[in-house]
Amino acid sequence: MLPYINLFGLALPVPAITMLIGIWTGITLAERNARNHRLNPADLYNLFIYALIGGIIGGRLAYVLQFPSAFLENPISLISPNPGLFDLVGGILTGLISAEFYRQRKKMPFWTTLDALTPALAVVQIALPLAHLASGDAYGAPTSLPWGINLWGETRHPTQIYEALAAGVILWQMWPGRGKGQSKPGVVFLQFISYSAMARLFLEAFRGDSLVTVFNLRVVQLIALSILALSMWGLYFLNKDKSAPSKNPVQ
Amino acid sequence: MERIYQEYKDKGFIILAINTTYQDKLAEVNTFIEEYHLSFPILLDQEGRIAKDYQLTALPSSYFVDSKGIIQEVVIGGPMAEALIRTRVEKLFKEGP
Repeated sequence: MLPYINLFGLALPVPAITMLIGIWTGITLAERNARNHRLNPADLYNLFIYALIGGIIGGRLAYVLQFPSAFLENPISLISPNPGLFDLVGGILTGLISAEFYRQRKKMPFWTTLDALTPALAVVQIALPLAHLASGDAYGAPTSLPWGINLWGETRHPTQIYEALAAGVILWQMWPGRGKGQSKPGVVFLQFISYSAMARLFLEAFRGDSLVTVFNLRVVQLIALSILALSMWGLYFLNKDKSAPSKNPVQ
Repeated sequence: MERIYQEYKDKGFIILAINTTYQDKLAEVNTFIEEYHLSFPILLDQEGRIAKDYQLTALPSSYFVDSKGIIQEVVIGGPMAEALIRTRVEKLFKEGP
């Protein structure tokens, strides 16, 4: 756990810096990947930025709507950079809506755009557990295994490292240019979603902070299972008519 | 922080500020209290025991503790936005004892 590093008298938040590096690397990779999918790199970059800005503004507004009186008392808090004043679900939703708005305006093909963005999402998926490792969030269940890490007063499964490693393997699979000419638009993205859901389904069992529901399954595992089923169905649907020519000549 | 303390203290909200006296100067604590007109208790961690027990990694660190004594959230770093403290306090009161 390393929430802050002190550099020249400044306390720098390591989780936020990790996420920024992840997002920046992701955007760079998406730009590089755009030409593989015959998309304009600038459009893909702008789409990412739209999603990011839309997500930040929407996440804050969704949070304000939950606690309006707290912000009426102190309106300056509206522009506080504190990540504790964001609503994650609201942020994700508005981020997706902003990205979709931009995609439609630029007439970017839906599945091809998602395929081009996949390596970027895979990079962000590595950055997130590393940020959690720095902040001490998303911690593992207690263990006596020799590779356990000391966190919050106990030796625990290093779930953040498990998740980062799994995300690394997924990124390797999704690396720009891999599997060229093998799939139709949408297949790369849906493969990424199904691999990620499988990883979540397995690794969530080692977490020490998630809600357990029926049959020892956790809420997140049930969600991951549903996403896995949907993405598998999507892959089946896209691959059903193998005789049809691919609409994405490069991939 | 003082403003929020005054606002919520009658409902049972308590602030226990802890000074890491083992690495600070005691005289500075008094200056700080006078400068900001603080009325909530400020405890002194003279041997670093509290810092060790609470696994302190950076200053300031804020621990939001519910009425059962369970730490519900740790906010590392500062300054904290006033709305952040308000929303956390309101949330703890909503969840009840």
